[in-house]
Amino acid sequence: MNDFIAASLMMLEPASIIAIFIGSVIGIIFGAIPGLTYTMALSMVLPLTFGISPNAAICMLLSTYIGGLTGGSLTACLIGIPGTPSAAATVVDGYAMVRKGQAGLSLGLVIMASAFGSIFSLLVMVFAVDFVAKAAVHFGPVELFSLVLFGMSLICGLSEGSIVKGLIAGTIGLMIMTIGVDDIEGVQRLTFGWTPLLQGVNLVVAMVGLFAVPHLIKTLVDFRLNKIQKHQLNDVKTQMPKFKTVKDNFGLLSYTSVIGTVIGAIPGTGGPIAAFVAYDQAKRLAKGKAKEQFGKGSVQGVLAPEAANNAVSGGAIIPLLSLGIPGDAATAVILGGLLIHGVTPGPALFTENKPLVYLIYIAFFVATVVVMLLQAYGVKFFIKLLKIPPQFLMVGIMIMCVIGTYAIRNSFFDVYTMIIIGLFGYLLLLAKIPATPVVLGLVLGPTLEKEFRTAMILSENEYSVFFTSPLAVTLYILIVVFVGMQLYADRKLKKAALEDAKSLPTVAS
Amino acid sequence: MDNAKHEKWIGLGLLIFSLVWYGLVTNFIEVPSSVEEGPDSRTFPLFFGFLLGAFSLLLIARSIIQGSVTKKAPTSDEPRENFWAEFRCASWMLGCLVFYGYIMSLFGFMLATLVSVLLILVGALKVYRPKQLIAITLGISIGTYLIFGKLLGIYLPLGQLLDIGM
Repeated sequence: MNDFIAASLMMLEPASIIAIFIGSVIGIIFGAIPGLTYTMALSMVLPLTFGISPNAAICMLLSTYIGGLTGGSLTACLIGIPGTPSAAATVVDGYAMVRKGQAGLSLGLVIMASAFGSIFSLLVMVFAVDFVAKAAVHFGPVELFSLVLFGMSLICGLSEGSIVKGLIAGTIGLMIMTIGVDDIEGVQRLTFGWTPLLQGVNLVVAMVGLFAVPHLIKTLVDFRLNKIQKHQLNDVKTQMPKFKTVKDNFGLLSYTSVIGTVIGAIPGTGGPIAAFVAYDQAKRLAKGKAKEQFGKGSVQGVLAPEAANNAVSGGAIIPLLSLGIPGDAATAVILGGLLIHGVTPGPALFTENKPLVYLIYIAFFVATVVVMLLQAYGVKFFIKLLKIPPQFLMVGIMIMCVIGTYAIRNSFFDVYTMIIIGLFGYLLLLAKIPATPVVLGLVLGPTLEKEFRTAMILSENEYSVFFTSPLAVTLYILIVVFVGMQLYADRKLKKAALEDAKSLPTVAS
Repeated sequence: MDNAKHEKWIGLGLLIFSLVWYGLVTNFIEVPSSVEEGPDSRTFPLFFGFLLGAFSLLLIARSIIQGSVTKKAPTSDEPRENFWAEFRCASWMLGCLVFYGYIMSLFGFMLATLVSVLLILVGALKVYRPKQLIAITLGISIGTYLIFGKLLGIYLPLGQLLDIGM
């Protein structure tokens, strides 16, 4: 109880409250604008937290995350373009409602379902995190290595179509993180005598470079080639749904929130999968006229994906807090933020710093409420922001990139590193190699190597030690099964694509 | 260039990168003499380089197997024009970032931001109306100073050559 009270007092500090407000606004803006993502928002916000206390920093990161998850649905409904991939399923019925003249209700349903999903997943998170963390106390380096390897194998799920390219991306991330001083032997690795590289490539620098810089280039390209879309946006007043609507759909909201939470807890999956699975389930469960309404402005068609994609947030934080394994790219950034502020997620956090754990729970709840209120009463402000031409936003983001990376160590070396990684990120974009697995490699690589080498040292270089733990062996089997399933699914898709391509007229080369 | 050829070149580029990486790791990472057996500081960098090489070969092999089942070939020079436009834009943006960082180190945050924003607005975004130029330049520069420097307490660099004290 004392820990909870301490956490509540930390939450009531003005810095924490202001941080939640700023993070929520930034998250909603980045989430709402197509092309910007909440992962980018987190990468940009993280360096901005260096001047504030760790408690406020955590509040800002969490609120940016939650705001970003919800913000994508604003544009999904209003202009039929999802601000984030997670909101793609909401477009179907959300935009249809707007076309029917029910824009206010559409937004109200989104806001209510988002808040429901977030709070539901928070409740699950509170119990699950504690349970998993208690189990993880008994984990040694072998178990931790196998867990991280399991997390890395789920790169396949982040590969956006080509597993080989996803694996290449993940490997590149792992390679980058070996640069610096080896933690175990103290040997310099590929630093070439440069002092700034002794600490390795900074995670925040890499993330800003990978996500923000390619976006800047792409925006400029779209502007020069006249590909920037102009959206017609009218002012809207949010209309919150009646209590009866909530009561009638309580079962659906709960069910889809469970879907979102479970999917969020599995590293490598995320909002888009949860949203579409939930939409599909809602459609299957609907009967009669309600079923016919799907695709034409169905209330359930908006509630289901929104509750699920926001429930992902709590689910993704379960492995993050209890094991230190991020559930997706966004939580990977949050993990980086926690580490930078001296907070090491994992079982030890629950014994050594329980008030901080409670602070995370409380901040999650407060951020959900703040985001809900901002969207309900501030939608006009966000619509005005959405009308700003993307090319002008690009200028602001460029400044944030440079200031943000400079602020990490007050070093221009980091700025230039960000630019080099940004060029590399753009080349990845051109090569259609996804950036998200690179982030996973960057975040998990050091832990993977450290736990492997620690296990080897403790076992006096016996490789068989990795097969002595039942949990580790189970995870290896799961890795093989999961990768096999992904490869099979990928092969099926490619085969279908090949059949389609063969049916097109062949041109002599 | 069709998809298979594109992937072949990507695979080749990555294979070369993995070979260069192997060379750098073996030549620039020293293994302490106290380490007798088992994984050392070179093990994981070498292993990851090997993995990258293997995946690159896989990509190349896949592109060869898929062959050149071509989609409809482009009938205009649009892809080539787009390539040069993208190349110019990428060079511009990266150049702006380098320029911004460099002059910030010399002249500090405020001057560097004013000059860089003006440069992008005129050079890249073709904004020429004086009122719009001044409003956007001052708005972004002062706005970011107030938000980052004052509200968030982030240290904004002072210039080595010139410092206007903001």
